[in-house]
Amino acid sequence: MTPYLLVLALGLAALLQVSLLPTLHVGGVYPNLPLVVVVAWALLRGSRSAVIWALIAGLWLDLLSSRSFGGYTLGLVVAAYLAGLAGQTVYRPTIPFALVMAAVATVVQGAIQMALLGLSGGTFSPPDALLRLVLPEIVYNCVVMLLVFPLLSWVNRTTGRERLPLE
Amino acid sequence: MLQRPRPKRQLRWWPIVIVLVVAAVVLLNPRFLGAPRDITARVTLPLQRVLRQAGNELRGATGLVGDAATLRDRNTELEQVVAQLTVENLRLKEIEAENVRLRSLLQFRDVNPSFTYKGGQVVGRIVANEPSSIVQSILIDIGSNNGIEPGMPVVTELGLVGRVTDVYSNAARVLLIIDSSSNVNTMLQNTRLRGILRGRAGQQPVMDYLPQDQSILVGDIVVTSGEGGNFPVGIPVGQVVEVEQNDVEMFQRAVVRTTVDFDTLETVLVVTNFVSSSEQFGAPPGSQDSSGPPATP
Repeated sequence: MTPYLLVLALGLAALLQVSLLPTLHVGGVYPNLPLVVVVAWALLRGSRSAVIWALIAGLWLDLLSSRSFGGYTLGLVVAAYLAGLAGQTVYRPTIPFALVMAAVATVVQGAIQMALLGLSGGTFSPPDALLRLVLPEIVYNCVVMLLVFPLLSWVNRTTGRERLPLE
Repeated sequence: MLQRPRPKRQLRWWPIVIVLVVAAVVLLNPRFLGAPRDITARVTLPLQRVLRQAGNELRGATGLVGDAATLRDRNTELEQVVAQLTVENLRLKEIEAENVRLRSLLQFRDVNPSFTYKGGQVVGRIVANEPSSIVQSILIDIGSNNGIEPGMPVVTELGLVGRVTDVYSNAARVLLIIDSSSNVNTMLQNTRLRGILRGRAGQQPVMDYLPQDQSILVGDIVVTSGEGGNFPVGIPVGQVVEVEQNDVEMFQRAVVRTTVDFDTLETVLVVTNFVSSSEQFGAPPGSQDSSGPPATP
């Protein structure tokens, strides 16, 4: 995959995130496609590659948002790194493992967003925000992971470098 | 004796990436990002418009499956509201007719007419939301090319939506009143009691700083008070659905259900003939109105 194609593909994911996915909300919550993509890639290829993906997708999201620059990039980079570390503990990541990591990454990303919101003077109750926003998003992200993980597994195979154990 | 090679340590550079990103979060003010975000909006807006349209059609086609249970409850509530409003409407029509008669009798002239939506509105279509549902702002497909300026109020026929915070050449960002950083000076329509409507992440907004000794009823209508100069007076905001009172606190507060359904919002009106006083004097666009307790009525 050429770098240009990667930037465009992740840009498309970011555009889908801000334009199309909010219309498919349930109870005001919608999935986080770039997060799911980055976590799935981290499980398939490890932290090094996934952090680059997270950086590109995060920059796109920050350009398409209204908040301080870097907030979304930070969340994605941390989630990608953690998912990559977790991916090293298994021989070959499976879909159930990917679902668990999608849930963990959603919590991590949500915590970072809420911390930044708190620092910028936003008013919210963390338990309520966790219950009403983060938990529903976990379910939604897991559903999206069921679609994204097989697709990226195919991309990983076709791009030629199957990840070796403990790579 | 052969020594086993030590495994190469990898990913030493990732803490640098995180430190750089943290520095960007802390140091880069959104105001400095106007140009890059303007270019991004200009380039991506046509695609965003297409994707949004596709999403709206997809949502329509799926028949709002996820919201079926919510809609059933909401329908029952709305039927009750319709019955109440029908009675209220009849009463208001009587009052309106009487008002017309009295005005013609007194040859009343409205020298300084109250705010009107007519003649000062630009319709914008929503093309994007924030990437995260924790933050509540929207991107509309009209910008400085259409006369949009920071600080302009954004409404629908149902009531207040928010305020323009960032303007690009062909798009504008609107901070919604349900965002957790939003503060709007409001009052209860019947008692004229002043308070500040604060958005909360994942919850309905609250009207804060209401004096403890005043009676607030569920069902009271909340409108903008016009204080702070960011919004015209009297724009409907919502209805009180719960009163939170605690004797040890200085103020009581009311949970408000907004008149605008932000989940189904597709188009909005930007009020272009209202000049926000805070924009005139250069207040930060993120804070919609004042954040302290309002003056007692």
